[in-house]
Amino acid sequence: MKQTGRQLFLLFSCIWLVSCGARGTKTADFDRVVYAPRYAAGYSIRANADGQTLLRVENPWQGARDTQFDYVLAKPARRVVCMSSSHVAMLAALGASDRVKGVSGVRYLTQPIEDVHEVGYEGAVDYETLVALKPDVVLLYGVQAASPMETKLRALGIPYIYIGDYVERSPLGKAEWMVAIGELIGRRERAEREFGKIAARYEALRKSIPPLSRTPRVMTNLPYSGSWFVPAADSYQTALLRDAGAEPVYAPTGTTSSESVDLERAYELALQADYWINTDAAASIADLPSRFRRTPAVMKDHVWNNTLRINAGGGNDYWESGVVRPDAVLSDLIRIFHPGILPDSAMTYYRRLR
Amino acid sequence: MKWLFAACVVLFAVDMSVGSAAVPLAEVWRAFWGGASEMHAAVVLDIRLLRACTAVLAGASLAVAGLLMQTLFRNPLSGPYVLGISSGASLGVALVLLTGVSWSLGVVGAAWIGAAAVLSVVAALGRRIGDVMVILVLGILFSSGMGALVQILQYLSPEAALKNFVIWTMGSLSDVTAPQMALFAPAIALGLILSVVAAKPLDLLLLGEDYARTSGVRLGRARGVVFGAVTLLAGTVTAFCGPIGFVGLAAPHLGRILFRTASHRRLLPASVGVGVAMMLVCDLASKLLALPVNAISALLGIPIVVWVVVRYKNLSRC
Repeated sequence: MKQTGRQLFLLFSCIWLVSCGARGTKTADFDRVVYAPRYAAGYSIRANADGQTLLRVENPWQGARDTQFDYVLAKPARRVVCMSSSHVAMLAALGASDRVKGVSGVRYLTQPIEDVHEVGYEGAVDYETLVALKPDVVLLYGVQAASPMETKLRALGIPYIYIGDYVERSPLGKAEWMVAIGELIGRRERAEREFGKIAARYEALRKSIPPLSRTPRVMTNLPYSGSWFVPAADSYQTALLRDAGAEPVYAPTGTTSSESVDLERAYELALQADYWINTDAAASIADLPSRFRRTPAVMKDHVWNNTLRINAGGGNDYWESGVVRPDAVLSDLIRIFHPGILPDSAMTYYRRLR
Repeated sequence: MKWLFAACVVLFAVDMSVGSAAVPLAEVWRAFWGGASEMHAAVVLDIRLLRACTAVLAGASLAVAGLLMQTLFRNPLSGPYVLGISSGASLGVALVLLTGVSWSLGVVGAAWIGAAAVLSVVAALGRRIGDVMVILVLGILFSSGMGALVQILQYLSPEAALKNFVIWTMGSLSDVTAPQMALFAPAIALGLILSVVAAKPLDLLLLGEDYARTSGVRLGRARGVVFGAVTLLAGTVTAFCGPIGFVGLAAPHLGRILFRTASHRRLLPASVGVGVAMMLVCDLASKLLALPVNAISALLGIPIVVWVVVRYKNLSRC
């Protein structure tokens, strides 16, 4: 606690020995920082004099404060269960798909993995299958609160680790969690190299946008059943738009969660938008709410959805590999908002709504 | 009555031998008496046994809570949740899963506190109001009010949190852990003991409140015992398993029909037997079809209630 230089009231602190052989270690001994993330805010990797490493995860879900988990990593995890498809993508990016033994939502995986088992989803986990898979670690996430699986996993003696990629507010921060996962499977150096390449490409793309006379304004998401959920100013979606040289048509400040806007205001804002992206379930212009079909973005044929790569089960690769490839997402967005800056090539995640 | 409990034992055994992990029957047996592989023993003892025991306790509790409510309100459509127990629990869980407020309490703690809070408010108001029907109406209004609060929380929540909550409302028998069982089982046992204490006053209540009062039943106290029992039974089950519908409504009716009795001394064990058997069948179906237990219990419970209504035409007499 002293090392971080601030008083941390530990509402919840947990040392989890991911494997035996590390007993008797104290968190205070891990005083050497071996990896301090450049973009991610939610973790750090430390080591002690014996060369053992500790993964410190902070506030891994929305609204968490002063919540810290310390995981002492004794040996590389060989059998991993992932509750989120983005964690599967991170392992795949490190060439470790073969270590994924169980997944929540196998049919949503857009990159099929051999010999992987369905373990159910939070609240309806198939614990029999989970135990039978003998995982070295289960990669968890919490939504608004700790994962409902935590108690049961602890009772069953199955090690778990929170991966907080989804609460990161920058696209590169999300992707940088691949280094934490790299450490977990004994491939940190490779993960650092891979992430370094992604970050360099992202930064280069961001800087490729020349000064603009007018920044295009963008509407995101789909108004549904009378309200429109708008990503906050301090959110990953807004960060992506700004890095792509665009501005959200509206972005609530002072919060990190989405804000619900009623239909009239949504319509008013839609009239100011040059582009409309991430239209959720709307797969064609005809699926948009009727009143929104005559807004400028639609008239100019500037409506795009992140659904180019959807598999038969309905899984979307944007939420899978898109999380580890923010550079590819950014490249798509720049080509949407500023045609001509980047050389012509096929889109990775986005397709135009017809 | 014996055949009913024999059926429960058979269903329990079948429930123990079915699951998504392929454990040979002999290994299930060896898991109890030694000699099974570590993995098989973990699956059978740490997961299946806990789940089957949870089903037994939940079935017994919901059936008895339903019976108590049906008699107290002299209303055949009453169930364990008429007084707003599940809505109170839902609000508690929504606060944890949707807003993150009080997550240190956990889902179970928040659900239990929510359920108990609602029932204490209804019971406190009930002490001032003699008419039991007014209490019933209050309970229904309370439920709707809390449902509205839950809706607001749901409306403001991100999708993933919403999914967690919605899945909670579908019920699950597999989340109870061994340390939790040490809390779960005694709470249910206490609730069942209170129900046995209430059996005699309830018999007299069947003949009308006035008759019961002149026969020496202290109505306020009898009601207090019933409310306490229902909080312990339905509140605890809802806290650990989520709301599970229709078992509490259907089991007492089936008990009445099978044993043609209105005496609570016989109806209590009859409802327990039917409730346990129903829950075990629900658990089996939910495992085999990989569907949430609440959907199964409704699909199983509704035909029973329909059959009762159609066959006897007059629910208040059967």
